[in-house]
Amino acid sequence: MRGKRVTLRMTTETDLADHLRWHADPALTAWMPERPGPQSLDQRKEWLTDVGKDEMRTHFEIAEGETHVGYCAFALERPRIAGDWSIATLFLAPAARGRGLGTDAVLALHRFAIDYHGLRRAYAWLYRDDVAGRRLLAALGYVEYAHGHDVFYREGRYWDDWRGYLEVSEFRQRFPDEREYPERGPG
Amino acid sequence: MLGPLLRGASGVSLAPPTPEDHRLYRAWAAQPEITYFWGPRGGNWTDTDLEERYKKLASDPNGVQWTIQVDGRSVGLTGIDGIDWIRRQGESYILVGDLAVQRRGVASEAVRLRTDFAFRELNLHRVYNWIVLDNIGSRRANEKAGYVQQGIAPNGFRRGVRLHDEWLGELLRESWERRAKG
Repeated sequence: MRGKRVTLRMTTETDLADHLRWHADPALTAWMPERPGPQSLDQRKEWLTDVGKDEMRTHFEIAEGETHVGYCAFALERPRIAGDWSIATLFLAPAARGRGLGTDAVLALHRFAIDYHGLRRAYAWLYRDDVAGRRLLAALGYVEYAHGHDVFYREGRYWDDWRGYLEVSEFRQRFPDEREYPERGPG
Repeated sequence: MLGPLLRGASGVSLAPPTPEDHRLYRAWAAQPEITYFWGPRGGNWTDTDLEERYKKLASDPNGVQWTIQVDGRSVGLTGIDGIDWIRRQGESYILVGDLAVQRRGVASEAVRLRTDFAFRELNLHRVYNWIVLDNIGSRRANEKAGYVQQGIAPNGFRRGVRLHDEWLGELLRESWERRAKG
């Protein structure tokens, strides 16, 4: 999946060393609702095998040119309504933060889910104090639907959450040019 | 894990499920009247699969499951799933499968017992759930125990031709303590 500045690509075993380095530092994963912890290389290889088999989840690595700068994933929601999905995770390496690469990656992720898979409503779950994450989602058109109290725990205290959703019609209206495929007729 | 015996009012109790209790779910899940507001109805319901699932439930360290009994008869199930022991919270659920005992306060008493256990014995900080907004019985049973709304996901649940809103509820330990002290 090509963004304007980043590419979303499949995970290879060579990416796993980056995952291990990133996940070893709790300061880098502090705002992740599903927070990964330190792992051994064998554990991470097992994770990769499991991810490859998981039909409900699609995981991408984020690359800026040849540089591996993070990862993201989307997941199909439990079978409440076919077509619902969620941003399952988003991680950017410190050097890639604050440069708009996250927005670029997430736009590509939405294009894949919406244009390739034909999915409709997207859900997202964040720390309520995740200012950068909420700004990114607001720009995409997400709206809040729930505020949970004392949902996360780290650094000796509880933190509230933010839940939002995005209708595909809103995404289309805001980003009419975010198309994975050009419209074409027969031939 | 299997929850311990909790005796409540009006003949309602929560008991550790037996394999026989677990098999009742197969009959409940098949009935659209019972599972209209519930999750998937499909699944592998062979005896072998049920036995395997029962073993997994019993050995799951992050979940507690009970059978709801009325005067010793199994009429439903309830529990807390996906317990995160660092965040000290989990997601609660309930299904009354016996239509003959619905609308008699059974769910309310079961939710009260389960909620007390969550805070008094499991030492949880928060219990939360997702309930279809139109499932008034289940929502009221939880609200009576102190659960409050944290949000609504509009049109988040489909059954047949209808889209229903989903109610997200939560109960924090401090609120439960205030209520318990009266």
